[in-house]
Amino acid sequence: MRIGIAGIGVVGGFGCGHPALLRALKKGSAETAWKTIRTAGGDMEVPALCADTSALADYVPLRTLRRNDHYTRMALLGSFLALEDAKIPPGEALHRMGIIVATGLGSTCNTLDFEDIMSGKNAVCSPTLFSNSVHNAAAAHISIFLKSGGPNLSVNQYELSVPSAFMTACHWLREERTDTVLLGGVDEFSKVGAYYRFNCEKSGKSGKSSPPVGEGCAFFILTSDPEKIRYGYIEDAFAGICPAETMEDSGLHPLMNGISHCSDLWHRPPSGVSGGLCSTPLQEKSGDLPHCPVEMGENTILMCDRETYEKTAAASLRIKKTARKTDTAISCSRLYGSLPVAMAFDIAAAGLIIKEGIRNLPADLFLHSPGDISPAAPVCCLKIRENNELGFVRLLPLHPLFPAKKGVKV
Amino acid sequence: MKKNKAVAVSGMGCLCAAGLNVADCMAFLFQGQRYPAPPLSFSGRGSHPVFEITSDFYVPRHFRQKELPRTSCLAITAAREALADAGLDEDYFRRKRVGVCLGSNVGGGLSGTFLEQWRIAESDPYILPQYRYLGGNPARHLAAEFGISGPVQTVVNACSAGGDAIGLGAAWIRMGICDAVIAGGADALYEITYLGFMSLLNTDAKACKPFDIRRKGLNLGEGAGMMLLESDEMLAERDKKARTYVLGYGSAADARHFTAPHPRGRGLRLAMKEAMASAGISASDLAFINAHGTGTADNDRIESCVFSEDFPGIPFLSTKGYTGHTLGAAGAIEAVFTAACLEQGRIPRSAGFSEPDPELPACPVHENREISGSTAMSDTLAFGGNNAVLILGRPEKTKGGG
Repeated sequence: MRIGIAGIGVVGGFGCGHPALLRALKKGSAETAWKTIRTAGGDMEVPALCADTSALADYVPLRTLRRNDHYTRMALLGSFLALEDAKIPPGEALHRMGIIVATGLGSTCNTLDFEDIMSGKNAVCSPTLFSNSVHNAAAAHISIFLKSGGPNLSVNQYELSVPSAFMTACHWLREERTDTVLLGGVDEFSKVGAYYRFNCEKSGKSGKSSPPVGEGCAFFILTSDPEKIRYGYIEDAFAGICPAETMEDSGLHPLMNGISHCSDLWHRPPSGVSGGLCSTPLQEKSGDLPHCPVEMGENTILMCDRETYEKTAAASLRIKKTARKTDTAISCSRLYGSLPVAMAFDIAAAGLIIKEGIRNLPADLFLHSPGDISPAAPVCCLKIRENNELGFVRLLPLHPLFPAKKGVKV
Repeated sequence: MKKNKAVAVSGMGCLCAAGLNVADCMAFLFQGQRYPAPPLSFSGRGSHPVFEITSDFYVPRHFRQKELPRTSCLAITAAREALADAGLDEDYFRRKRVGVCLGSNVGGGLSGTFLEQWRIAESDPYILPQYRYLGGNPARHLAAEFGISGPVQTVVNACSAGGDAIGLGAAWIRMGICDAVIAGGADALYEITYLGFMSLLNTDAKACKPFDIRRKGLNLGEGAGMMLLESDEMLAERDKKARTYVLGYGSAADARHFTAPHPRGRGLRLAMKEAMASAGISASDLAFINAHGTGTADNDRIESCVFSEDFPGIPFLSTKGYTGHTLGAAGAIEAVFTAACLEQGRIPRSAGFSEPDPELPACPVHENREISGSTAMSDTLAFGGNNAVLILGRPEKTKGGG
């Protein structure tokens, strides 16, 4: 079974809808705004990439949104945009659609508004505020607005929430629990994150070039229907802990270099480990990949933030004794800012690159040296955290060598 | 919907106000005792009783990680019991592909403790500890404690999270991604939830009374329930037998209201239908149902109607009268209780129930009783209209054989 992306809905500092993201992608930047956060030391102005949800009025009457906070409104708008892009009218056969929402912070602003309660300033807790602070609020409101009674899941795993959600979406489709999955990553502007960033920059702990704190959402319609796939196939998705032996012995370069190498990393047991790691069944993978008709090792596109890139580069240097020169590494975080579900935007950008056949991007988006993008290049969206924790989603392009109806099963 | 392969459960762990391990909890349940009391950990905030763990269950010197949020401490303690119950050698375990799938009401570190620190930190520009709290995660802490490698996921489906995590973790075994999965749920009692539920007028000022005519709402609790799910191959390699099996799992959304269940239990029925189909069983195969049974007016009415119409004559109970509502842990704790009751061939009386409500077409068991059969259902309903249902027990062909 091949799983792919049929629709994309994005909202962020770059604007609303995938045409806005595409424009920002081609331009290489988005306009930064300033946001005020309240602290004990007084108000401070911090740069931010914030999302505007006013377009939600095009989809639902505003009066129905009076109890929905900004966090949920972003998720709702992203969902409507993704459904529209996939040409699925709301209400059409949604009982076989699953919903998965990934969030790194949940409804942070709501939760932090409980400060007054915690500090005794306000003894009465608002029931609406409390309801909206529950982590599955966005996924629940999406199901209510769409009248979608399928499986509904919220995942909260900080920066690995998005690959974790993709991993489960692929399982649902492979096990035929659902025909379609509406999957999105959403995070609200975090004043804790902004405050942290402000102080890091003030103390010189992070560079001035690091992206401002962002917010927004990126939603996807995932399906196994080959006729509907327009933004690439999901080759694999994983979020978890990589075996320490693998990280040490093999380095991280296989993740960079392509699917055939990736399969080595995840399927060839490192010493002392009885099997590799992968979110797709081993039999399916090991049987198919040797017949893969294209050598993808040298032209895989890596999409990640600078921190992850530096970790992979350091590992490559340590293991291979040489820095990589051939990899295409892109960071789009300047378009949507820094936020835990950043990978959702990376995947949206990757989908647009695949669908639009983009060959060139502004030099500022490249983490290494700028280069052409091969139309047959797979894309690996990657996040590496501390202690061997990583997540990735790999996309295969819609290419004649990867036919939707036959060929390698992924 | 198709029938799925049963997934073995080789070990179980649990702690809550009813006890600090599975055996103690089960003994407590059948003794019919319960001791709800106003919260000790944030005294002065309210008098509505809770089911709090008052023992020092987490001794840091026995664990790798010394300073963790309470939810993670609960999860690790229950998981350690599950691993010991499965007879697993930790070195052997680390060489396997092991996943962690954990349900929690709040996955990250946004707890009362965190908020308190954030408030203090506003006068201190160095807030890295708080940022780490945001990145903290009970599933990650669990994986780190046991040094395992594999997929890690934190499910935050509110009150159904624990049941969902077990159902999702079982799929990892079925699909060949993992040799074993530590799956379950954990949640500590904290102030925000306590005040929040009170604001919704959903808590009882006295001990909760699920399905009783005098029910006024829930009592919150805390705890963790964990199951070690294991592939048949790994079990055979270790020459061990399963304690029970995850036979089926279903989940569905009401898609109607954020804080009230569907008046006809639409999502619950859909989830039950999927769970039964994936287990390949019918209603008559069930020995009993472990209900969500919170003690709130709406929840208990919906469940009673669904049980009466779709599972007539099947005995059911709520264990929340013994444990309180442990939120993200509830589905997992109750799954452990369900499996343990099947093993013992008996179910405890539904604590707090004494006087039937004429509006409820079915009533829970009011005394401890023996049950026959090898399959049972555990269901959970959640904020946002989520419903998760697990079918536990022994598949037909392995009856008696393990």
